[in-house]
Amino acid sequence: MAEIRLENVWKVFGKVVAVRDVTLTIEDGEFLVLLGPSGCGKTTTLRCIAGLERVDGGRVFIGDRDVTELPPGKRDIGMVFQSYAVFPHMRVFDNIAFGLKMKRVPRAEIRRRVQNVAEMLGIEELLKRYPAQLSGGQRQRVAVARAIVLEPQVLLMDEPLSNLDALIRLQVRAELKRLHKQIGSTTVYVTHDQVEALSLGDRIAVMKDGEIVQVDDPTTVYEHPADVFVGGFIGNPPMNFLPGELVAPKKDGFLVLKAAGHEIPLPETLSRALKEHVGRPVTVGIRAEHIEVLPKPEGDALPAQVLVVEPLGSHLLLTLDVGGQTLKVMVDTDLQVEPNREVGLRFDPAKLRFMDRETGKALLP
Amino acid sequence: MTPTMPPDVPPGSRRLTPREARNRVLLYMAVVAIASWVLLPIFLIAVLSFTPREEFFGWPKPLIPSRFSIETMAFFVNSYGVLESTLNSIWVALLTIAITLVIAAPAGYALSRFVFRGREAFRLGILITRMFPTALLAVPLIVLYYRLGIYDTLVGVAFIHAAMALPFSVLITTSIFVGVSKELEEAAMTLGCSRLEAFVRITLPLALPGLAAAAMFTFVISWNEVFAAAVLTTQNRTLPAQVLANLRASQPYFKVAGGFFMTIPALIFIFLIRRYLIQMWGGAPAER
Repeated sequence: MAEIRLENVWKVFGKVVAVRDVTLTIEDGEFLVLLGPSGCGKTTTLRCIAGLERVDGGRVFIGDRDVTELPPGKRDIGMVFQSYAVFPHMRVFDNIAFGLKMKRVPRAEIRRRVQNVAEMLGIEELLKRYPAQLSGGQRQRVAVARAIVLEPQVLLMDEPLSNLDALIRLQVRAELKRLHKQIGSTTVYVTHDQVEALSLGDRIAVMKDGEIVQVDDPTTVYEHPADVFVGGFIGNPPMNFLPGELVAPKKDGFLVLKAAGHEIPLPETLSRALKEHVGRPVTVGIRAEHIEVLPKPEGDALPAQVLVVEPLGSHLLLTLDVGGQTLKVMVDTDLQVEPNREVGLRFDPAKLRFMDRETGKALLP
Repeated sequence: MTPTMPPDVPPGSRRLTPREARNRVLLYMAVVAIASWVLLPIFLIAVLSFTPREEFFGWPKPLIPSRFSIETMAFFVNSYGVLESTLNSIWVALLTIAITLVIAAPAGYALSRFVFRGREAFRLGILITRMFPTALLAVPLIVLYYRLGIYDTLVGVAFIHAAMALPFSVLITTSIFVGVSKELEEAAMTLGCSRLEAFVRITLPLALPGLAAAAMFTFVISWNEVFAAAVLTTQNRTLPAQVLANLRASQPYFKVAGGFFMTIPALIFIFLIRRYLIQMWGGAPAER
């Protein structure tokens, strides 16, 4: 087991910078998810760790070894590919044993280790079959078995679930999490699916345009996005964003947020923290489930109009209009609402996230 | 089966509209015309090769000979130089296959796996060798072959045949290697293989049927090639060159038998590899 360290890694394809100056330390035994939209450089980053791409700048360390110049086979890694890349001309047994054979492990030990891994993944019945006789989920397991039978220090996975049916995906996702606990390899997992990232990762590294935007545990990434991009990319529905302005009323020193045609007083701690940003245009972000909907606009609640009601089974997803801005709100199914109705909104100002309107970066950590 | 569908109607058995029916008739007429353009000569030549000598010169000729006779074929095979030139042809074809594969397989692999400067130019440029008719190149080739000391040798013929087969072979091997996923090789590399080991253990076994098809294709090209073989040899003739040399002086049944004899390997090989040919050229636009 070992930590992985990327130091100022660059990868350029022609004129396209796929990985831009990425520095990242993945701790020993950690499950790190590289998350981002397609083309953000997450797969390229993974391939740089694997040694399938030669880095154009920077260094890659696995444990204490500088592996930057080593070929994939000498890096002590196991990799699971998106297409599984199970060798079609070999039986399942030979697929799993392939790496051990390359390492000239004695035959008896190969048989023992393949058997062990096959049992761990529940594919011991399939060892004599050819990949063409397997389902997608089974092939995926063979690919995982082939990668972990070598007991690599580092396990790399490139969107391993994206070719599976939705139902099997849920099941395999849980199995992968259990497997990681069991074998403890440092794992890097690439995905564009934020639900997968949130459910699997010890930490999530969100990438955009070849750069890492934020590395944090799933809760922090979800609750405290580093910028507008992360807030909008993670979460379903994505975070709501409203343009606003921070103003300081004359006396008491508490700040007021002006947004969507309303004034929202901020509590003391927030006011103090945001003091230096007074007068600056900001973007305010709030999660759909952090807004409370009252059946009637009353008291200090913000008046809003219901545009769309979407029942999602466990919740209702409302699309609301607040002073010309559109908001997505999650509410319990027992709330009685219908389109065109006037409702009141209330929320905890502590759940508001403030971003610089120009750079999109969070004002508070 | 969904309830909206009428039960147990096999696809295609519904009534055609008049327009569809007309198009289908035209299509089949075209198919029959093209097929008979190719098949009729082969059929005639085959029938005549096994027709008894007396019926061969009779008129009107029966469409099906009254009895099956191998005397025409036997006469051809036993003619002077035929057996020897057949062996020559086989040698030349095998040499051509060896030369072609040694060059075409790496070239196809490179074209399928790597993006490099001049890749497209290379793909096109390789077809240039087919741009000039061999007749135009005959004299320079003869001079060159004399200087190199390979005139009238089987190796020399194999070289020119390889040059002719290469453009297609490279095209074929490229599409074969494109068909073997790059991720398989990469997976092998993460499991401890070098690039070469990954190629030998993974890509080559998977590409082998396709490479065999390319080899057969090359065989057919070499076996059927007559012009270059005829001008570049005097004693060590290949079969087509031998037949060509004797053509004027020989009896019609010799020509017929020779023609059929030379068709056989091509027919067999095309039959064996037709699946690959359809795959390669039928599927070509999709995998460009």
